[in-house]
Amino acid sequence: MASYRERLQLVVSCVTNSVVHGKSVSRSGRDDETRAFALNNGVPVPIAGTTPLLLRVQQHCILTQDIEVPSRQWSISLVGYMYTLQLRDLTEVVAYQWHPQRTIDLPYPHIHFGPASARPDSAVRPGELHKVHFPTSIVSIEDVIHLVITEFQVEPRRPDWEAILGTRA
Amino acid sequence: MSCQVVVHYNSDNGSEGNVASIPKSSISDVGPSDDLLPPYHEVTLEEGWDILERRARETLGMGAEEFIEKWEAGEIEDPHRSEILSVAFLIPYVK
Repeated sequence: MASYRERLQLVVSCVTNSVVHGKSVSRSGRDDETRAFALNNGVPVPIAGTTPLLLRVQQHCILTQDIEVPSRQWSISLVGYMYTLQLRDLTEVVAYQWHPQRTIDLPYPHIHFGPASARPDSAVRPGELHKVHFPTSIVSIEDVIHLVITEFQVEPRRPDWEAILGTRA
Repeated sequence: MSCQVVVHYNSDNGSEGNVASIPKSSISDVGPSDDLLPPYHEVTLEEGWDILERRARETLGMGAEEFIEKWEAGEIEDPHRSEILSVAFLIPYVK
């Protein structure tokens, strides 16, 4: 069994050998801690496929321990993320975002269809469709890695990628 | 709206434990000894400042401290842009 951070590293290893970096932040007077995780410190990494793409993965989690139960069970809660796909010239294809702690005016998870996906002459919000926050449910990193492999023909680095990512709903 | 994804796990020794359940997946047959798995890196506070400084300068042409001050004051223009949010997501590296 692996810790959450190892799990995250394992999932992204399906498409990149870049390293997940992280930082724990404990605050005095509180029995939880924030964990910030960032693949390659938030700098997009290339992923191999028929269309050259860049992937950015960042997450915020909160780790808490239930001291009321004998097992002192730990829980890790995902409380924010950014999963971005870009072309190699940095034009955004799609961005899954959830950052309620960073922008309190936008507390819900959402997706942006970037300039590489949204037509500049779209019938709605022409020229700025990429700015629209389309609401979503919470998206897992497993979902995103599965997406890039199955829909964007990104070549998986490891033969066991399906087992790692699990059965899709 | 307030929502979270919670993954429970047990620990015998404190701050890090074993994943007991993760949505949609099972990881019992793979682990950190895997040859294809690069090591995780825990960022030190000093490294965190270096990283945030570099990213803030590359993205917005300002230093880390100025970025944090303006971010927390709501003075960063277009804060929902991915490039800017990406820098903001690194703030826990330093505080």
